[in-house]
Amino acid sequence: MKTALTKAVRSNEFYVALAVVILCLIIGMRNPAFFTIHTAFNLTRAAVVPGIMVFAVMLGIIAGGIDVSFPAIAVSSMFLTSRFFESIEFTGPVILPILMSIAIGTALGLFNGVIIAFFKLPAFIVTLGTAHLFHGVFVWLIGARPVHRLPPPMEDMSRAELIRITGEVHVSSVPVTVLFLLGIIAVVYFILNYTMLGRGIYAIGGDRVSAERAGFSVKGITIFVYAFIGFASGLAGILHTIHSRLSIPTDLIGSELLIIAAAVLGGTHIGGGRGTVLGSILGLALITIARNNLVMMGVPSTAQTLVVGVIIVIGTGISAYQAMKKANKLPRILEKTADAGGGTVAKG
Amino acid sequence: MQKDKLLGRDGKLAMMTDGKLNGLLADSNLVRLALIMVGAFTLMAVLNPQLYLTVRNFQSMAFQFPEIGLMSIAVMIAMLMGGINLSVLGIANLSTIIAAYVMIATEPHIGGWGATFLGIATALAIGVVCGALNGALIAWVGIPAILATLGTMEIFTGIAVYITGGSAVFGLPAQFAYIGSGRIGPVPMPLIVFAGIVALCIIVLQRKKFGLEVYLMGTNQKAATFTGILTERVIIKAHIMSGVLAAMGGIIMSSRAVSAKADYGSSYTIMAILVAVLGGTNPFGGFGKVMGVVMSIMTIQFLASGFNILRVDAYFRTFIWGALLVAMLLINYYGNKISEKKQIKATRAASSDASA
Amino acid sequence: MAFITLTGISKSFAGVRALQNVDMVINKGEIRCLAGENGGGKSTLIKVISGFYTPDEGQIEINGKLYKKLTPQQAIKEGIQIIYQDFSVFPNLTVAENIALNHERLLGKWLVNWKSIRENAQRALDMIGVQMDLDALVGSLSVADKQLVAICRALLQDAKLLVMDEPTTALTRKEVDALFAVTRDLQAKGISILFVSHKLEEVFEIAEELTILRNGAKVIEGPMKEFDRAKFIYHMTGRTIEPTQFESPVTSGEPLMKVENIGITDLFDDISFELYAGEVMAITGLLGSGRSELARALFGLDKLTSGRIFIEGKQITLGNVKDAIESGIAYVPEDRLTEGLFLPHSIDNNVISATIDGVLNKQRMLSAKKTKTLSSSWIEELKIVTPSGNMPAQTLSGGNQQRVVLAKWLSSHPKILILNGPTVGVDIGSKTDIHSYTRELAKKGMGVIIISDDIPEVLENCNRVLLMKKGQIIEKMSCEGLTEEALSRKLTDVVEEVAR
Repeated sequence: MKTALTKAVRSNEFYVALAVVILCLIIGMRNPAFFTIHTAFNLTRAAVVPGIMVFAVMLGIIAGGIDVSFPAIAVSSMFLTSRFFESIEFTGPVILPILMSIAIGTALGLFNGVIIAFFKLPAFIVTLGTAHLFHGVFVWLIGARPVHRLPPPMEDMSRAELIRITGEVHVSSVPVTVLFLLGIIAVVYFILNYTMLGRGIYAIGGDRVSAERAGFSVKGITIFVYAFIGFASGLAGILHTIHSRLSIPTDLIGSELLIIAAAVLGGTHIGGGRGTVLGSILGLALITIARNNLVMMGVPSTAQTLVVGVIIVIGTGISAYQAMKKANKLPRILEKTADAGGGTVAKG
Repeated sequence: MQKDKLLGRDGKLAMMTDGKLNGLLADSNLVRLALIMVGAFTLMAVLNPQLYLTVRNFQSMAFQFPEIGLMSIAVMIAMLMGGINLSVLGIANLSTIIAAYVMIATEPHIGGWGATFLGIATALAIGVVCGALNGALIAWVGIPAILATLGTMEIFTGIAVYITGGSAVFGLPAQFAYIGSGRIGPVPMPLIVFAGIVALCIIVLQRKKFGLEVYLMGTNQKAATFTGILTERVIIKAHIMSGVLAAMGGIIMSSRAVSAKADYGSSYTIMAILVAVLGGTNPFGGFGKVMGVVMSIMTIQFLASGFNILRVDAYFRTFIWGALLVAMLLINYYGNKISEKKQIKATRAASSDASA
Repeated sequence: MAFITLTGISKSFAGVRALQNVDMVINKGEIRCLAGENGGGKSTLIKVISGFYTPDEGQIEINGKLYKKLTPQQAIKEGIQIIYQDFSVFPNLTVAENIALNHERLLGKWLVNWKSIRENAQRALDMIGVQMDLDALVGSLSVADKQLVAICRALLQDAKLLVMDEPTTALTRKEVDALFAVTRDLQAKGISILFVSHKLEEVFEIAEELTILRNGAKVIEGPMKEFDRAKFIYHMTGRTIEPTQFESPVTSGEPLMKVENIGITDLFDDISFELYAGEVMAITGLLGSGRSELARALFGLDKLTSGRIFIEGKQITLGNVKDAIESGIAYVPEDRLTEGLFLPHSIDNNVISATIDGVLNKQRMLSAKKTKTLSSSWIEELKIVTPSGNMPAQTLSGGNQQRVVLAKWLSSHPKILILNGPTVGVDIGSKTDIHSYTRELAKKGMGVIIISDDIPEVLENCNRVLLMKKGQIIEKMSCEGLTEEALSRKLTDVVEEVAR
């Protein structure tokens, strides 16, 4: 009998959670300053932009495709948006630039989706191409001059805080942008678990041909997935600009593999069909902590890339090794001999 | 008469393919690539003949493309097995950084040439070790190649950053610079090195048993095991080869810069994948030719040099690479569809002949 | 009363006729078998019935309603459900979801109601009287259970006609019996069944009516009782195939292969036998009896934990497949698509894949000429139908693909050939060819082991049969005088013992 508890312990999320806890404990033991509200708030802030991208890219991986164009989409949408609003000396509501960035992102994602769905091409390669295409064409057309002074409404938003605690040493705050991260998490969770669309995403990731036969609109679902990635990237891009109060056309580019790593460390199956929101939250936590807090335990900043690499290899290695062993193991045929205890045989 | 008809058709098909490794598909890809390469060259030559069609320009092109070219072949080998190698640049930089330290330490004792040889040997050895690690993680631990090499990319780059503290290593022997900047007659050294390695790769991949095993395994690893191919060994060997090629690319790169640094060539990883796919390598494994990748990198170089002369914006160039890749995917899609139709027709005709 | 009536259906692809003027009627509550060799037009006809193909000519009448152009949606609405050979289930989803998700979706819901999914899934399982863990991932189920999931899914769609496409290919005899019981049960509920198969025994067992297609045309139809074996085979293949018996060779002197008490922990134990040159020996047993595991071990795929193997008196160690090949053993695997062939690669490359060393020139380079010569000789010898050896293996039919696998192994000049399920999914014509070729090989001095639970195959082609059960050999028999019934009973006895 499998109880809920043993099921939970066997789940992949359990091990990722364990890794996060152990990492926190180690850092905390070396430097008690880790266990403070200040650290927690800073981590939250650092997780907003990559977090939004992690959940988007997770959706793609579950559907069976790896999108690597999301940083390019994010940066293109935000750069185009901030240059536009800078040029019109915008002072209206901040939601307009956010919506514009999202709209551009969605359009670019749609483009990806259409190519991937109609030509049945591998998403990884297509988006590798479109990443260059998008980033190149936009920055070429409008010029690479960064925006150093964002329009006032965006500046204001960068200072907007959801929670603020004034301590003895620091002022700690959670930016209002975290609401967008929570929103994306909620939307992705709802789509994946409670809509036919979400089950369709799992279905095409599990077996594309079967999904087609069952009458799922494979093309429609695929297009939705990449459009959603574009949507979330547009959002992540503009929030990135708001956080950094700058709009630089080379930002975010190069972060794609780390974001994918976060999703995969959280148990999203690189071959498609499997992945959970909870797992990705944990994967995101693992990567964010490793990137931001290793200094606190005395790891030199020059060793951070190395540590992240080791975490990826060990993290994916353990589950890959178990899966390989399991796949290679043939089911038992011989009955156990009497002295091994006949009573346990029935269970298999 | 039936038989003559069959033979005739057979003969025609045999002419269309080289009958060695792949079927109809890969070869029409090569023809398409050659046309695109010639087209790119002609376009750029027409746009600016005075500056483009000069010995100087040819030389400068020949100095530039071999380093990415080698890394692209490194990626291609991984792709032939249905995987990918994201760690090529990490290997290139790590191996040359360690080689740089070795050269700096040994030059006073064994002279510039001695140190250069020792440095190259060190870099290649590091390439072997890195490639073996990739291969072992994929074959023995069972991590999908994309994740394994994503992790090792971080590890290799991480080690490089850690030991250099992120700054460049200078003071390499002047002789080392010869590999990247020297010439034999009018021919730049990098081109000579590249040509030699390409020839070697063609032999190993397309004429040797090992190569055929890689191509076969790339389409069905399980069947390869059932065929007596020692798949784990082949994976590790191929990744070692990939690592050595990456290290070789790194040697040319750092020789041209006469220094080594953890973040040289930061766009090369993506570029190498792009070149490999543009060169007709099937990302699902099993198909792709060295000459395809060579033509692909040359096409890119023809365009890049032309853009330089025309002083085209760097972002326009990025856009063109992306557009080229997407266009190539679509062209191949339609090309493959046509040859598939031909195959089905031929097979149907053959079976109705047989039953008639 | 007719449920579906097809009249004058024709369909062509790229100028090649796949169906020519086919008429067929399926009555309510009838089990009709659609038989024919691979490429005969069965799968095209199924796709016409399910609305995936629109016929070039002809019409379809379902429940008295005439369709000029039947769409997949209309077909589903009319209660036509297909159970594909690979079941088309989702390995990453649970049993409940696999069964009931589609039902919910086709009701037009866009939100998932987990409660109703579980209830409906349970209802469907109850319909066929099966117990299953609703939360188990379908990927972890046995083949037979996956099929039950697929059947339940179809039933929930209110199926009136269930088309089963080669449903028994991956099932053991015991599982086939269970499937037939379910099938008859459904028939009793008034559901029509179209059973698509080329397995003679099963067709005789389950079908009431029979339609045979050959080269895209209907050649005969009628009640099952009007057919006997010979007539069935004649109409399927268009030729008469005489049942034959393999003559026992002289088995004396030193055995070609001697196996002494070999075993692998947990899998099988204490297996001993001798194989003489010229013999065709069968190893039979149910799925899960250890027969395939034994075959894998004899080919070096899994390492032995006990016992010894001798070939021509010399002890050998099998660390991997390469060792086995070097010892003169060849193995034609169970699943040619995933284990036997490199489908996208050329026939040439497939043929030489196990003997690459043989096509190297003096410089140890691959010789295109040697490759072509070797491959062409096998294409001719085994009558592989293809315009060229450059064609990808995936363009071939099942029977021709199996010949390529055979060619690949025969070119390694083995002393011992192990064939695991050599004719599964192969049409009767090719099956006969493969059988006679195998016996030919034995006559030339090869030792052949056939692993199969196809009883006529065993009896017609082998001189000895070893019966396996629970990882052990429980009986060694001569095929001479052994009847189908007797061997079948021995297998069935085993079933009962397992059940007990």
